Amino acid sequence: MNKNRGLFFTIDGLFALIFITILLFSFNMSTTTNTDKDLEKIIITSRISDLLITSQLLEIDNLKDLEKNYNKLFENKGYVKIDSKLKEINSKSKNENQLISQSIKYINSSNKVIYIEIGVYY
Amino acid sequence: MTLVLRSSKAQVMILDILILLIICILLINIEFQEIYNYKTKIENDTKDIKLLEKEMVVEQLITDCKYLATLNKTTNLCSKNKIEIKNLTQITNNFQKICLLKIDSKEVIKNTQNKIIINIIKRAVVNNNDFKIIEVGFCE
Repeated sequence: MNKNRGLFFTIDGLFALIFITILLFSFNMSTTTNTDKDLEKIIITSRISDLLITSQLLEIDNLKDLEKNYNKLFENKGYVKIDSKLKEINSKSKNENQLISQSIKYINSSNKVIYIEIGVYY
Repeated sequence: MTLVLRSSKAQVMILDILILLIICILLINIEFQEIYNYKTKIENDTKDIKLLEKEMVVEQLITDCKYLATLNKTTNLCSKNKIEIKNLTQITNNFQKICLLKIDSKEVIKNTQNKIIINIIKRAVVNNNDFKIIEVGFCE
């Protein structure tokens, strides 16, 4: 009889161990990074770089042109800044609360330093 | 007296087996859910990796002089994001999944017959001293 009781306790103990293992496994799964969001970040960063590089190549120094180019490439809300002038760009898309921004400084053909900053919400 | 004792022992055993069964069902359910979630996660990750691979292909197109990028004659380096329409056959030969290439809505490569476009990747470039958007379509 004692032998049987011991057997039941062993089985119960094994189940408890399996249960704990599965719980730990679930916690590990939930802490893994969200690759969808990471990929979105990579894509947005590369598009901002595109806008900055093209702005330097074309020597863009006015907000109107930069905004026009921004709208061709992005549907997200964001802003463009040239030197101290800033222009907010709104969009219909919602749930954008995180920001990625990049800036560049270049010297144009008239030897003037131009600072451009672009920010995109996602 | 012995009958009552045996009956209570049987009840305890049945209760134990029942609890064991419930735990078993619960564990199997959790395991199935976890496996399903893991499978979905792997599928999503694979999709993301494939998209990233396509992003890299487009990056190569606009940075490599072997494809669309322009060679800066003074520095002898490839200018990133400054492109000219060239080496189109090389592009279609080396990247067979590319079936569409548009520069500012003008189709440069179009090979979409009996094919479904899965992804279109948009990038900003300079072509003929003008800001343009290139769209690269990938088909299966």
